Amino acid sequence: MKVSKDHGTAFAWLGVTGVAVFVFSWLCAASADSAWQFGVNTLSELGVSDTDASCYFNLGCCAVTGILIAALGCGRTIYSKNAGHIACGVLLAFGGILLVLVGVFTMDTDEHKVIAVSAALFLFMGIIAATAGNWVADRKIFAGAGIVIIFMLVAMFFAYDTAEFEAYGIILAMVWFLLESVNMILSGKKN
Amino acid sequence: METVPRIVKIGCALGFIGGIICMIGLALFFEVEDSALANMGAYMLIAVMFFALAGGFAKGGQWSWNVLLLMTFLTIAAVGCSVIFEVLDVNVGIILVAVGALIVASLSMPSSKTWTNRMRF
Repeated sequence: MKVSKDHGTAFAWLGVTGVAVFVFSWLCAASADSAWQFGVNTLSELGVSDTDASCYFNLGCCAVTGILIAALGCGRTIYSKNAGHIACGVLLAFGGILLVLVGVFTMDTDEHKVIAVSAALFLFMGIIAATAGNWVADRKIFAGAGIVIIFMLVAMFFAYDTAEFEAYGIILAMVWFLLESVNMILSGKKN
Repeated sequence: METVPRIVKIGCALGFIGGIICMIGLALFFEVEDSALANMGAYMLIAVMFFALAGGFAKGGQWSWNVLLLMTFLTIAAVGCSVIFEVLDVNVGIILVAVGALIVASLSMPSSKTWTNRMRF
């Protein structure tokens, strides 16, 4: 299938938009619920808040961001040539869909924990696949940044409690999404 | 006799500086406690990794450019993980990550890539 590189760049901008929407919604939700504390309460607690925070979290952080990440994953799959990038795209697409479901099945439902952990695992595996793909595609600096982020996420998993790991882990993941979007934009311009 | 590119000398010096900063950090932040061995081990490991990076830039160095770059990123990751586990002081960690980033920058220059690949054996 013959595809235009310009569209790959457009999909990359969805990643940047996704990060911006997530950060903005997170800040709005945290401001709306004054009882919520960074690193003390889990993000999912914002989804069952009595205040407007639940709306910001479920719609902004989960639904809109999830759709944007899934779209980024689809773009990555369609416009990539190596196996690592294609696998990354598929994993991000599934991770994005699961992120949308995190907002649908909130913390007070039984399904929430399974869906939230699955979403995190899919996105983490996506980071690993993209790092391998970047290394093979000779995008060594971006691959190196991925390696550092993967090791730090694993260290955080063992060193921090759930709420702290979730908060710092999401910030690191957001940094990775920005880097990967920049990588896609630069790759598009290069070709 | 082939002249060593300046960026390679800078990369090598940065590796040594990173290792020396680790040794100074070990001396400054050493405390006699139960986890002293773990703390000392982390500082020593990172110091060894930085010295190994410096050796990678030398003539007849042990690694190709690809492996040297990978090792640099693994060193930065080791610093980050040690800070997360609170065995390395945060300020020392920030300085070491900056040194590691400078080594990556020196490695990304074309002349250092040519040098490390050609002068391996």
